[in-house]
Amino acid sequence: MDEVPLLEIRNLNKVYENGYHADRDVSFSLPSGKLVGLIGPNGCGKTTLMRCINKMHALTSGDILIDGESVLPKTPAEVARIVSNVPAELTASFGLTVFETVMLGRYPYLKNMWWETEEDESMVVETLKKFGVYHLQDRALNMLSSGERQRVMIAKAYVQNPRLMLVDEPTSHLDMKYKLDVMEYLRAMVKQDMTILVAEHDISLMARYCDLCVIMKKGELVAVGDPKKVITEDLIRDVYEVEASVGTDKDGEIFVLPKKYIGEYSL
Amino acid sequence: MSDFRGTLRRIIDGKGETHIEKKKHRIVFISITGVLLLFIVFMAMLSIGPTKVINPFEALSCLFSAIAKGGSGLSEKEIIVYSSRFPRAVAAVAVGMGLSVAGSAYQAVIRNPLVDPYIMGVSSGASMFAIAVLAFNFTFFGLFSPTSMYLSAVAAIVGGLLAFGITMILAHRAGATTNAYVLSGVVVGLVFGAGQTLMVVFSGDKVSNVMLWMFGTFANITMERALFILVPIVILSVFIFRYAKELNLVLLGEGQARQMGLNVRRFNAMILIFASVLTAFCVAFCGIIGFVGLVVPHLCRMMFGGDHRLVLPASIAFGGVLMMAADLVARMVIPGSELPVGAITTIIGVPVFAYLLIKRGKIYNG
Repeated sequence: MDEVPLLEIRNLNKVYENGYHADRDVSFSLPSGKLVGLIGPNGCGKTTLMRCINKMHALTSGDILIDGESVLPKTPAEVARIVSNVPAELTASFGLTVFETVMLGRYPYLKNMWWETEEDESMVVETLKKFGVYHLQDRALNMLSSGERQRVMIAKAYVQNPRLMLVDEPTSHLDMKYKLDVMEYLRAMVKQDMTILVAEHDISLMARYCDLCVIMKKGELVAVGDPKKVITEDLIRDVYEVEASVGTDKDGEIFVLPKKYIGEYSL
Repeated sequence: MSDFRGTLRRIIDGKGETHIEKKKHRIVFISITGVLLLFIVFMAMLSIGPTKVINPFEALSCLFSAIAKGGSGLSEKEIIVYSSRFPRAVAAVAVGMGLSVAGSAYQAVIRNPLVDPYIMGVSSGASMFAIAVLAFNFTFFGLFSPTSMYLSAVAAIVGGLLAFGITMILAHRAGATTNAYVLSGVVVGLVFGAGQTLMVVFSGDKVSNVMLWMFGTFANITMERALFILVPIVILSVFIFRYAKELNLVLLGEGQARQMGLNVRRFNAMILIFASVLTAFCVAFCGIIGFVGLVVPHLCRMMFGGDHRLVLPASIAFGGVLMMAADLVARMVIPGSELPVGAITTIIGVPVFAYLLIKRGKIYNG
């Protein structure tokens, strides 16, 4: 590949202070302009990997490059201008409106300015309109439903204007309609110069919406590739220790139906 | 009613089309009404008192002539205005704004709207040490003369910061989470509160002096004392105000704020330290004045929104106004006798707070 990948992870290892080895020698790279699913069982190192990318955690060894430049020597403020993050769940907050919350996405660009500029404002307004939350702009953030709040946090990550957006389990407590909703948003957000990496448990949903998927198991990388090719019954058995049917519906979409746990129960 | 609200909204927001324009207009509104109200209540503080009511313009000219004379050889009116009412007004403004700023900062950093400036144990520590001085003539092992006017103030500041320090150490060892701060503050507050209770019991006939301090009063304020607290309170308030943008950011939680490039742990610790020093100076001479630091930030949020670039200046202005007004009530309700101003602010504060909770409580739900 001649082109410099948007994200390149080289031999990433993360060992926590308590000795837990969360990510083992993970290496992969992602091109620009893709919606990428990060799939794997609980505790496989997805969240740790994401936190290493946005510098919430220090790596034990390895390197993370964005556009060919290592993020390790960058300051948190510099990283905030190329990587944004949508948390799995927003902890309680008060006092801010939807508009103010999304506007905080411009914080990494404010530097010493006291007020945001008119350009910041029009960028936020456009984003709110584009993602259908404009009517909520004056509502208090903590008065929204969890689906609405998720959309607002995604909009905030979008106005941060990153190269890479990290989204951690965006649909974990949403119903079917909102799951589709959020995935449609993410799909619509992907543009030529931005890749979105989504950690998610719903494999069928990932297979339907993602251009690529990264599959992990016990801290190790298992596969990277087109979900329609990568997701097979063998892979599910290997990664999840679950017997599953992987089928194709009449529109050619993949679905995964889990049937039986075949690993050893360890309670 | 809704007409009135709409009109008020238009006055506060101006003709601004965008959010930024509205906010900038709100700042102008806050500055103008803040200065105007501060001036009006300040004039009332100078002219109204239990001894006599002086015409405001005369009171102001008395103040200037007394300052010009350097405070000596004053007429009766000049003495009343210059050595009693003026320092009280200055101290009330300082303490009102200090407690309101500290309250806003604590609420943002701890991300709990029900937090007040005394949450970190500052008040209990300050009370215990101040009472030790008032009741037992504790002189810091001879460092101060027993008659020094700064003795109880320094004791309160030292005690407040000691309690705060213990709270911080405890909270950090417990993981430095929001809950760790609140719970550590409560525990430390209880310990110092118990010490304070014991001292009150043993203080005998000095108890009324002690009680007055515990409920807050501006009765003992002199010009030197007022300036002693005014200067650090203004400096610390301005310092916290400079971090208004970051206070907005930490409302989104530690993870989000860190991801946006803020060193959250260091920032939180810094703001808590500054807010606690601020609180310690506020209680130094005037004692524990409740509810101002809790209610004023909320009133400001309801009027101007939750952006700290508006909440903090509004807290500075309206905290000062409310505290002066409360002191005016405290010295005028029963002529010839001083009520503790802390009791007045609480009596005013509780219904306001209950109203807020009923009307707007929902927006504070997580």
